[in-house]
Amino acid sequence: MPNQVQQAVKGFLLFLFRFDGELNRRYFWLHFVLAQCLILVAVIPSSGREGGELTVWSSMLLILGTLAMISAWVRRLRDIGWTLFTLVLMLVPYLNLLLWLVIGLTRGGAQTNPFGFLSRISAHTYVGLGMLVLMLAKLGSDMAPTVGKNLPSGNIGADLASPQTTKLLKPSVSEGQLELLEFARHELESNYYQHGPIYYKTTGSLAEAQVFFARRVKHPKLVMAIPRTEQEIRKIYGSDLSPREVALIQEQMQQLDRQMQTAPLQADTTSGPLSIATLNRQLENEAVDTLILVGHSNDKGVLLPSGEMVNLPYLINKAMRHRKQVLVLSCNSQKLVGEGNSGLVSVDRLEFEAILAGLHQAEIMRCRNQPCSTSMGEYLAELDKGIATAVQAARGKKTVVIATLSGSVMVTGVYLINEERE
Amino acid sequence: MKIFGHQLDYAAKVFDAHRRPVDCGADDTELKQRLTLAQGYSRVVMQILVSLIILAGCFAILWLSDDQSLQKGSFGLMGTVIGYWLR
Repeated sequence: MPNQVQQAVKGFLLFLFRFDGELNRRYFWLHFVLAQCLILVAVIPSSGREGGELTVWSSMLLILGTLAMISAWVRRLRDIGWTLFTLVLMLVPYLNLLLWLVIGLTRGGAQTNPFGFLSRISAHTYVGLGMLVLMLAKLGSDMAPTVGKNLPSGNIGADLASPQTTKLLKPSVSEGQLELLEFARHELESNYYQHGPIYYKTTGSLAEAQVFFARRVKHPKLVMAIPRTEQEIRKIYGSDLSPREVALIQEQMQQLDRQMQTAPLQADTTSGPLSIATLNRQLENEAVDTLILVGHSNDKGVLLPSGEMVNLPYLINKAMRHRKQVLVLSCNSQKLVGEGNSGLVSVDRLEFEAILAGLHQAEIMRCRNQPCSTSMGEYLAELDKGIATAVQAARGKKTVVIATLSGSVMVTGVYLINEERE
Repeated sequence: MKIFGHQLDYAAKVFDAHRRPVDCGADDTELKQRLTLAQGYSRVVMQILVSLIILAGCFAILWLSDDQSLQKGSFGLMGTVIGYWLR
């Protein structure tokens, strides 16, 4: 089976049966129709029988249909922010009908791409699939034992492999954009499609972010600007902190240190607290390709335990001069990149904002403060557009900057990738 | 306007802030808020413990005693505790 069709079928099955993620109203009703079709396929053949007994195939389909229904409920409840215990109320007659309507019509924060790989296929394809299943249900009423054989992959695969659909599945990118698009897509796929939405990774670790990034660079060097002593904490987080507040932050930093002990990259902690001078030495070190800087930041730059602050433009210029890639993992990264500093990178402000729009959506997917307002497909399109225009603008210049997210316990990551281009 | 769930929300925020006083994306104001919330950790833990003890006591009374007035009082106490957490 061609890879795309395989992915398409996988995406379809995930859409029907996965329990993680969320479902917006539109796809909930679509899902509902498909699940009902499955149940109809199961029930109709036996309705003509004496005693209405279910065959083995029908029973299996009935179970699958029920599972699909529960899957839709779970994801929809999550989407509108209700507790999953509401499912218990579905056992109450009449009340369940009311709930069904309320949940089906309540606006949620749906940011999900329920189809995974199939995000580029229009909903009409799914309606077509639903009709197909209905037709199978009708056929199944005459030929009960063969229903199960007719239902799953063959017809669905054929439909998805049609020339029109295949065209939709392939993004149209030029040679120059391909590499960056692949990067962004790979990240989305590894973060979203394989492991669910990014916000599910709140229990992930900094080590994961490192592994993720370290796969893409040759000789990374980790530099920690994390405060450890009370003095360093006061320098970074403010001098007006009470001793109890300092202790709380210190506890969290120790937790981060413990995480770091299991990380593949180890920071050099022997040279004392990080200062601009030591950071410069790391940037000038020829044995290092990529510098990963972990620390707290405000809207102007990264704060170092020495009490100094590294401005982002300074960091970028320095990195460019020494041909280094720099990854900044910091708090307040959106402000750091977005306000005042974006004009100083080689992409202009408008284009950078297009990328930031992607970043913003990714941030929304992490479900921090704001409700989600656009679909995953729209987000992807926006990201593609942003990257494409950025690449176009950066042609002939030396640097392309891509901002994106990592999923870690306490650090929002911004990857600043200085990539040379002819 | 939210009517129910304030107490549970507050408890969840306190636990979260205690685990991560410094949150990603938090500005100085939010850092202060989280630090203040984190300091309520012991209080919330004690609230939970006391609630659990009261509920356990009420269940014990309902289970062991046949005294109607005692049972009525237990139900009332349970309602109060549950109501406190659902408010």
